[in-house]
Amino acid sequence: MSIALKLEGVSKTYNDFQAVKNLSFSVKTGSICGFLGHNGAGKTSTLRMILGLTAPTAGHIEVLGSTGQKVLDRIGFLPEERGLYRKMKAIDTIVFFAGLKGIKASVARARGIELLEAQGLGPFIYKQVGTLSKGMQQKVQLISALVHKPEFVILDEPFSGLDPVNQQGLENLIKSLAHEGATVLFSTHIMQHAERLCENIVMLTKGEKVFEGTVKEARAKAPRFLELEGSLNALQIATVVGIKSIFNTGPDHYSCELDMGANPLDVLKILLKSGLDIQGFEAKEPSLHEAFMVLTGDHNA
Amino acid sequence: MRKIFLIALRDYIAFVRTVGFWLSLITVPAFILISGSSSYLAHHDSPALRVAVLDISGEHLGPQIEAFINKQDPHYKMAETQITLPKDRLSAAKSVSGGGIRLVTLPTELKDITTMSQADIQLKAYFKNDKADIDSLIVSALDKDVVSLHIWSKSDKKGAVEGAIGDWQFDLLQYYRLAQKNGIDPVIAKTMRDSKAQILNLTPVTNMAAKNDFAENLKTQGPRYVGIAIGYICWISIFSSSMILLQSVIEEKSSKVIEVVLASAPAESLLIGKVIAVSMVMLSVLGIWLSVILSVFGLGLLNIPSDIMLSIMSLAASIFSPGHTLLLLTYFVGGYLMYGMLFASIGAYCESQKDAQAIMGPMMMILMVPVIVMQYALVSSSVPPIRFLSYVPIFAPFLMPLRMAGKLETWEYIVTLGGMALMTWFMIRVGVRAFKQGTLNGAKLNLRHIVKLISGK
Repeated sequence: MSIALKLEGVSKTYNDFQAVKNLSFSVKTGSICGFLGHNGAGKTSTLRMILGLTAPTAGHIEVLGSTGQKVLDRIGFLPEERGLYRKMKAIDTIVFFAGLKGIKASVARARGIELLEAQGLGPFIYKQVGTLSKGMQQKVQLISALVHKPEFVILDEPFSGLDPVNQQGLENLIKSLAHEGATVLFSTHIMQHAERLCENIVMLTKGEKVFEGTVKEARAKAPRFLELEGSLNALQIATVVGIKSIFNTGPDHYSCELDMGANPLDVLKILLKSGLDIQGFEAKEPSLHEAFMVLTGDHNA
Repeated sequence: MRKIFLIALRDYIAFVRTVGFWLSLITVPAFILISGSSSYLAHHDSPALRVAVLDISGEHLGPQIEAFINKQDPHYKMAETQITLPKDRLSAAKSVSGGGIRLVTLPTELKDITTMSQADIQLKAYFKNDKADIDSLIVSALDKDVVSLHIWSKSDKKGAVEGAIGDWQFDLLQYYRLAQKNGIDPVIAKTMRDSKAQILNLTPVTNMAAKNDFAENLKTQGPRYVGIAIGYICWISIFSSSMILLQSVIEEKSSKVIEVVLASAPAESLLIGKVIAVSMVMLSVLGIWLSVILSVFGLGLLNIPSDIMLSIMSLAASIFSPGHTLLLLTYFVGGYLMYGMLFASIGAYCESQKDAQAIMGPMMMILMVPVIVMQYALVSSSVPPIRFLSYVPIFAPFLMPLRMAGKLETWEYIVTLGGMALMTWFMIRVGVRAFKQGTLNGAKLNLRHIVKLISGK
C-alpha cells in the first residue's frame, strides 16, 4: 500500500518555543489516521506544516508524493478555528472554495447543492452563512472542504462543537470518505472518536511523538485490569504475581491493575488456586483513553 | 492565475455589495449633478429680471445704459461713441445674471420722476408693493458731474441686478461723457485709454496673464491647479484604497477564514487577488465619477462659456497627453502597490480595528507630509519642499503628478521612477513575507520582527 503522507524529522520553532520536535510518521493511502494529543501538543502546528501554510524549521514533508503547496488542490482541509465569509450564500461559499481547488463553477454548484441537501441544509442553500446556526455553518465548512472530492482530507478537531447526532453523522462521513478511497487524517483529543474510526493513530505530547501504530497496539501499551467480586483479602491479592496494584472500588468489589504483558486469565488461575473466594470476575481491556494516559506519561490528557 | 482571479472577483463582489461602496459611489456624482443641474436650471428656467431705466441726469444717458444692458446682439455698438461692447463682457454678464436681464418700459407711474428726492419717496413706496410691474429700476443721475447709477429693487431681488451688471464698464459712460464735453473725439479717447502704460512681468506666462483674461489665466495657471488636484486625488485614492485593503485583511483574519483560503491558495495569490479587487473597486468608483462629470460637461449643465470650455479642453489635452497619462498611471500604480502592500501587511498583524489604529497612528503622521507640502503648490509647484520631497519614493506618487503640470527635467522622471520602482519591489517582497508571517504565525509586529522581515531571516 502506498504512502499518502510522510514526515521525516520535522521540527517547528516559534521564536524560542519548540512546538514540534523531530516528528516522523506516515499515513497509508486510503486509511483513517487519528492524530491525537492534548491541547497545545503541536497537532495544529503539524497540520499547518503538512498543508504548507508554515514551513518546518527542520525536516521533510511529503504529501501525495509531492512537497510544498503543489498538492493543495488534492487536499481538503477543515481548520480547527472555523471561518467562512458571513455575507456569502452557503452555495456561493462552496462554489468559491471549489473554484480555488480547480473545480468548474457549474460542477461545484451541482455537487454543492447535492451535498447541502444530503446534510439537511436544502432550505438554506441560498441563505447567507452568517444567518445559519453554528452547526449548520460547520456543515457548510465541511462541505466546502470536501466538495472537490479530495484524495487527502485533513480535519483539525472536526468533532468540536458538534452535538452527539452530528458527531455520529461526521463519523459516518469520515468512514464513507475512506470507503471511497480518500486518506483521512484528523486531529482530536477525544479518544472515543479515534477508537471507533481509526486504523492507525499517532500520539503527540509536548511536540513529540509518543506513539505510532494501530489502536490495538496502543491499547497494548496500557495495563489490563481484572475486576474481582467477593469477600477477599486485598493484601493477599496484592502479593500475587502479575498484579501490580489493587483498588477497592466498592463493597466486595476490587479492581486489579495487572503488570504490563500479564494475561488476566493466567492471573485469575493463580488467584483461584490460592483459595480466594472469588464470586465474580471480569477481565477489562484498556481503553484508548487509558492508553493515551499511559503513553503521554505525566502530561495532562 | 485562476486563483488570483477568483479571489479578486469574490472580494470585488463583496466590496461592491457593501453600503459604503454605494454611498461613496452615489454621493459625489449626486453632488456634481445637483450643483450642475441647479446652475443649468437657474440659467434656463429662472425668469429674466424685469429692469427699467429712468434717466434723470438731463444728459440723455438712458439709451446708452439700455444699450449696455441690451445683450441680445453681441456686436452691438454704442450709437454715439462707436465703441464695441466687448463680447466676453456680454458672456460674463450672461453667466452672472442667471436668467438674464430683460429691459422693459418704464412704468407710467414712475415717468414723472425728475429728481433724486422725488425718486427716493416714490420708488420706496413703489418697490414695497410686491405687485410692482418691474423687478428693478436703474436710475441714472449726475452727482457732482459724475454719472451715478442708483438701483432700486424688490426686496426679494435685492442685489440681483448689481450682480448682473457689476462687471460691465459703466464707467465708460462717464469717460466718454467727459471726452465729448471737452471736445475730444471718442475714438481718440478710446485709443488714449487703451494705450495706457502696462506693467508686465518678463516671464511669458505672467505677460499673458496681464491681459486679465480668465481663459488665458486658465491656460497659464490651470496646469498648476490641475496638478494640485491630481496630487490630492492620487493621495485620497491611494490612501482610501489601502485602507479598504487593510480592513479586508483584518476582517478575514478575525473571522478565521484566511486560514481556509490559504489552505487552497498561496499567500501571494491571496494578497495579489485582494490588491486587484480593491483596485477594481477604485477604478469602478473613479470610472463612474468621471462618466458623470463628463456627462455634466457634455450636456452643458455647468453653463461654462464656450471660450473657457475650449481653454479647459486644451488644458486637458496638454496635461493628459498619452505620454503624460502613462507617467501619471505609473506613479499611481506604483504608489498603490507600495501603500497597498504596506497596509495589507499591517492588517495581517491585526486581530481587530483597534490593533490597526495603534499601528496606523505613526503611519498617518508620515502620510500627512505630502498633504501638508502640497499646499505650497498654491504659490508654485516647484518650491523646494515639494521638489525635494518628490524625490523620496514614498512621496513621489503624490508629489510628482503635482509637479508634472509644470516643466520637469528628464533626469527627475528617471530618478523618481527608479526610486519608486525599487521601493515598490522592496515593499512587495517584504509585504508578501510579512503577510505570510502575520496571517499564519500570529507574529507580533515589533522592531525586532521588522528587522527579521527585511533581512529575510
